[in-house]
Amino acid sequence: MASAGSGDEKAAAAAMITLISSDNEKFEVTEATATLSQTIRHMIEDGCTDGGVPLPNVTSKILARVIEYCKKHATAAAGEEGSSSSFSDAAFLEVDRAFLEELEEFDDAFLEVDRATLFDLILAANYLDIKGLLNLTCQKVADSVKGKTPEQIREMYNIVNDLTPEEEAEIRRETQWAFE
Amino acid sequence: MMREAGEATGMPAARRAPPWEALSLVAPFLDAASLASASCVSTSWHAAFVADYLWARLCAQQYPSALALLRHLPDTAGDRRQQCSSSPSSRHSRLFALFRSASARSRALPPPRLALADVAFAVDILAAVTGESILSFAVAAAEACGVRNGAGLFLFGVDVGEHNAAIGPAGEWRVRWTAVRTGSRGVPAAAVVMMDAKVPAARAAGAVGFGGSGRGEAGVAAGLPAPGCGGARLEAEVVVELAGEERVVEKVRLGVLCQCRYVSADEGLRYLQHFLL
Repeated sequence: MASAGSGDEKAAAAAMITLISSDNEKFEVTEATATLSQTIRHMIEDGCTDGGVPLPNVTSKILARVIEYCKKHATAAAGEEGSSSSFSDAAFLEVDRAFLEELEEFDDAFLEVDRATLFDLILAANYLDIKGLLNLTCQKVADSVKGKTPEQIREMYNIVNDLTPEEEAEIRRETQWAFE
Repeated sequence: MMREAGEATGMPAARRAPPWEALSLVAPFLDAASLASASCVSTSWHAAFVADYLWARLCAQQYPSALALLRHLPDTAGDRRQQCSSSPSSRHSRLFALFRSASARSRALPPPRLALADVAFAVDILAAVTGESILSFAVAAAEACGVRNGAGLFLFGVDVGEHNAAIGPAGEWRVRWTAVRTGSRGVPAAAVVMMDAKVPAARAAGAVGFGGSGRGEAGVAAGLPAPGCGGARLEAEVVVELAGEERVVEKVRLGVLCQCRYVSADEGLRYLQHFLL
């Protein structure tokens, strides 16, 4: 990447953005990392990131995880761009596959969090508009629900059933096809 | 904010229920069955997973023609009122359910409502000319399993050798087979005649002197009355296995056929339940 980068790109990569969590913790990240978030990208484009970007909906605990994700994926994206110009096709494919595998392993490990954190990550990914992270986390929840009965879902997510027996019977009747 | 409220009450983070805002973000990632199951979980889950756009998308993917049908289906004033009530189900979720159950219906017939254990058979074999009884017996269907490879089929065999009933060297005979639902729990019994037919003379004559063993068999098949809803033409078949010059009846086989194959026990019961339930 370093060999391929032009002067402008180096300057862009060096530009740092400060993100401020809801509990007032400050995180310094590169612009390449920050702009995985469309929300922050638009703020940068609008030139309103001086003095840091306050993110009142995201706690420091969650923001740290989000930044971890963005750093990895920003590196991977930059690595792919760099490799395309400096390797032969065969070597490029080899490197490409290695990147993808490494990224998949990272994503799998990244999702090893408790359920509350997983949902907080979903909300943060939505607020920050990070498509990859939103897809990743939502798919994880969707996979956990797949094939489960309502009782199993309640138990898994610690949900109190506040439907009246009549309401539940009505909903069950309408969704009967799913339980046959 | 919900999250802070949860933390303020000291509830452990991992035990908190998922925030409702996240549910609608997850919803587009669920398949139809998961959406349906998740919508039964609680009020907020129902609200998130019954959203009309989710089901409209699923209808468009899986049953595109269903969308064109929407304007033919009863609407609307009632629906709108319902959507404000505590149990709102979207129009498209109901449309999806309609088409989903439609495809399930054509794939598999429901199991019979009539159990084999509640069925008995009464059989009379009469001399064709005089009408005198040659052999009469009644047997529970569940106990009439004396046919090899008959398991799972609507095919029953009853050993009647101990009756020592002989048709005679030149006799012809009629068969009357009655299926009975034995009453239970205060429900009265019901019965239907499956067959009342004369064995064709040529077949009766041909049954004598098979090879050197002195054994043979002769059967008769007759179309069954169509149930109220029509359907495939079924035939009842009664075969008697005979032995010796006097043609002693050793075994009687009872079966239901469709296009020369014995139907399954379930199919036979589904047929019978038209008459017996």
